[in-house]
Amino acid sequence: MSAYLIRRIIQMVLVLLVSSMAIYGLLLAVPGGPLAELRHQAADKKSSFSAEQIARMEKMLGLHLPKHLQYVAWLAGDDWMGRIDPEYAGDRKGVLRGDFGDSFKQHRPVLVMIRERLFNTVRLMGASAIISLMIAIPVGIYSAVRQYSKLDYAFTFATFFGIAIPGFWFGLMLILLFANQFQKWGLPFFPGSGTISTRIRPGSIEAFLGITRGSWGDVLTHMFLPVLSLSLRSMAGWARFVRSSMLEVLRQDYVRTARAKGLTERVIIAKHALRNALIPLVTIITFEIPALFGGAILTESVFGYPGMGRLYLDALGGKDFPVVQGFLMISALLVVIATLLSDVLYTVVDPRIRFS
Amino acid sequence: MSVAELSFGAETLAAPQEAGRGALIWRRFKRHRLAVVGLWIVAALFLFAFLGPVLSPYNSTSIPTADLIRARDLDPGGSWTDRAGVTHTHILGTDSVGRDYLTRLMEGGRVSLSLAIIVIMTSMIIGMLIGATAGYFGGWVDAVIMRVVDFILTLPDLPVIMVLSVILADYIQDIPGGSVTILGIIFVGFGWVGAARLVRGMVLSLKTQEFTDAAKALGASNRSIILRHMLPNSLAPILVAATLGVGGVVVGEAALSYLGFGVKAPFPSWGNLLQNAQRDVMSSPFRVFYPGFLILLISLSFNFIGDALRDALDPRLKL
Repeated sequence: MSAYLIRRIIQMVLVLLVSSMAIYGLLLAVPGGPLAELRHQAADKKSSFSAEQIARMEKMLGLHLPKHLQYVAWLAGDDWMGRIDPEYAGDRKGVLRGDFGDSFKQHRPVLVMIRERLFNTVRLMGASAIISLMIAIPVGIYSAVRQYSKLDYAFTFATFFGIAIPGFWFGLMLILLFANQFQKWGLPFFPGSGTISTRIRPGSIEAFLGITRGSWGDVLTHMFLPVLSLSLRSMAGWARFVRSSMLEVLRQDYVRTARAKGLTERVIIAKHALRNALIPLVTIITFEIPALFGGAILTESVFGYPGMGRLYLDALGGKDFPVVQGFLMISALLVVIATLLSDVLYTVVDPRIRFS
Repeated sequence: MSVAELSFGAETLAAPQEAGRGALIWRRFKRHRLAVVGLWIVAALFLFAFLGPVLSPYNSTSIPTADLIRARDLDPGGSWTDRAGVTHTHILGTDSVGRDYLTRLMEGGRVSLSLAIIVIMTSMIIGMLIGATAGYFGGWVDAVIMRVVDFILTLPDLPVIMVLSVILADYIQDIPGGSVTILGIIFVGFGWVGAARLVRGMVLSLKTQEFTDAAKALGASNRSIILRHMLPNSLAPILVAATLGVGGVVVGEAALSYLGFGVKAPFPSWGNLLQNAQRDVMSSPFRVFYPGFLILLISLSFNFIGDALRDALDPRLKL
């Protein structure tokens, strides 16, 4: 086990190293260099950017260094480079020590900006994953056990719907219905954007339930629509997966044996079939993790929700490349860690699998 | 292996008359009623997108400057009278600059659907060739290709596509239709991977079968074995994957264009119509509804068709 883990961690580090090169390379691929847009803006008299600021950013990005040292400086910092040549000395600590540089626009450390938003996004993703599982597993089991029943057909149709629908458009429709139309119709309407209310509006769901501003209830009502739109796809995909996995298990010999022993259907399904049917779900869920970042960008954009995805979108629009790099690097790190965790988890839930 | 066996079975069964196999597949396909409906919807939407703009009395790229104010932001069914006294009626109203929205939808569909079809076809062809090469030759060729495939599969696609489209956008600023081309290239860059994995798996099992040895014994070259034996025999799952993939490309294009990183003006697409419509969602909610609804229809239809095709081509096929 430990040998396997060590090998996997080395692999992980290599993947991250390749990713970091690719992410740094993106910066070099920008026509005219990463500061082209800012220089353009600085040339404009009305702009808030000055030539000194641009020079400082150049130093921050390590552009004054020789080409072969630029990536090294980004990765490992340039505070130690004075030892190579006093001219190279800087105050960057490098990505490895958690220094992603400062944002072009906000002049604050990228890591601080991402950390501020990370919790909002994780909260959204976590809630959506839990709700998806809570609905997908029972639906999948029911569909498999009562295959070809009316409800199975209805669920199957619904899963097709959930997989085919553009999630962000579904989010827009939710806002139209639950936020705008409900307000027009005088029903308790949901908030369509933000994380907490600036004030409790009369007739809103918060006023209806007697929720105070800034409380947990307020946060939850704001999460309701985004989580709904984010969950739809994974819910549908996982329900379909549980159904087919369960159908396969129900055909196995040991299920027939359990029936022959005279066990009740409930025990057969809950104790014998379900546990085996859910094992592959672990992998399927991990596969979804990279897609979650995309989902976060779209959902947060639709609902004006201040999370990491929104930060990335704004940074890309404003060519704020340190923030872009920071987001991509942290996504890569989270994906790699999640993949490793799921592989380990897989062996825990299924002892038949050996580390090799 | 099951796929190869089965398609062999079907071929020998249908050997006396070639039409037999097609008829068999069609008969099995028809059992999936939703897929047949999906086929009709796809046909209707293609006519809508490709024939519609030709038949439409409105041209969506030219804005009626003289009558601009009167033609702007009309409700569905709204009409206005120009200076010559002619009344123009707009079934779905007009957008914020006075263009007929129905025509915009048609032209948007033309861009979205052509992009999806071209992207899927190109990715499948590239994926098949690379996948067959990896599976057939094995060894280090396979190892290198599969590492690349695994790497692309772990990429969070949307953020990466967004940053690529920002960087590449500067290179193609002056080319008309550049944003569509770039988007297509990026989609193919991600899309070939699935097909490659699929075909590699098929080829790995096909190459251990006797007919491959027979072809080799007859002196066939590697190239001809791949092109004449491996690829035709792995066509069924590719066809299914391609059908299921079309909806994904349409939705992907819509998502990127909606965020402002996909198809850019003056080209309309279902995605950037959504982006433009979101600004006036309060005043005219239907402008947000229509493009998304068409995306949903096309994506749902292709999913049903793909599902039925999988059952029709080979009931045991798993994708």
